[in-house]
Amino acid sequence: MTNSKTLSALAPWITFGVVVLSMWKWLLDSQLGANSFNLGFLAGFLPIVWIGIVIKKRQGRLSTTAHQMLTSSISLAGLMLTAPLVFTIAQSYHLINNGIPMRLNALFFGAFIIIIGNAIPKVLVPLGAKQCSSATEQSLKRFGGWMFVIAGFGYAFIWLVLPVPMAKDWALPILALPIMLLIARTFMVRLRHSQT
Amino acid sequence: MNKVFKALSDPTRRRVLQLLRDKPMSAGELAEHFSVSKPTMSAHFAVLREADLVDASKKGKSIIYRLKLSVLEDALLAFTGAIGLELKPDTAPNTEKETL
Repeated sequence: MTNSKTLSALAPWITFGVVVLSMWKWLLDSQLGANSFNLGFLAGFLPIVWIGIVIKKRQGRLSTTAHQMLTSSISLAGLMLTAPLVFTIAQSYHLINNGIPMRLNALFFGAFIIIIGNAIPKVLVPLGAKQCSSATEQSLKRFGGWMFVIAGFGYAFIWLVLPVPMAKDWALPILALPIMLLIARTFMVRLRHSQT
Repeated sequence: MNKVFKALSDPTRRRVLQLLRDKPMSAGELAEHFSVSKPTMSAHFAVLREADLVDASKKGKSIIYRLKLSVLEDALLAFTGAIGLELKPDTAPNTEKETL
């Protein structure tokens, strides 16, 4: 799903950037006496994954495709971490208002859901490895892709237009509804498949 | 993205994608819906494959074509249909005349 040469090539730089930003954030928080454990922990996780990839690669236990998929996934994870780090650092320097980092993070997350949803129907299972008919798989993936895209748009839209307290209440149900529909449809397909 | 637009600009290729929306089909099954020569159909399939809109997998002796549209590409295909570039379903099968 995240197999992209560009993302893969950018992975080391994104990881480096995330580590630098998380150290910056940690320094700022330590000056203010605030707790920055969560983001720091997640950012610290990326270099650990890198070490694992390098070891596996040297042992020859990682194919080029798998390496590319892993590194592009690291890039996406790094980009997801970059957004909140940049926004909270900017907030610390009073460059942006209090509500804006939350909104920008939510918009970034909505965009991420849209990108993932857009790619879902493109990922095909090899014909021999199917547990259901190709038509069922295809229709379920199309439905899943559309549901993710709608969920992402809905989530981003809510955070874009509503006041922050209202957006906090409404964003998650808006995000969850299409996902619940997808789960219900998957369950129905599974039920029909087991009956036949 | 240019390849995608090029692929979607042709009514026959759009019709192929619409047929594949229902279920994956072999090249022969798809060709039955069009009165064009096999080389022409092969050329259409090649354009669709190059644009990464379909997947061609060998199953036995036949090649099975599967839809490989992202949500954006799916919306683009629907959009071309909505603005009237789509072939009418009742006239599309076996009515397209193309020459090499």
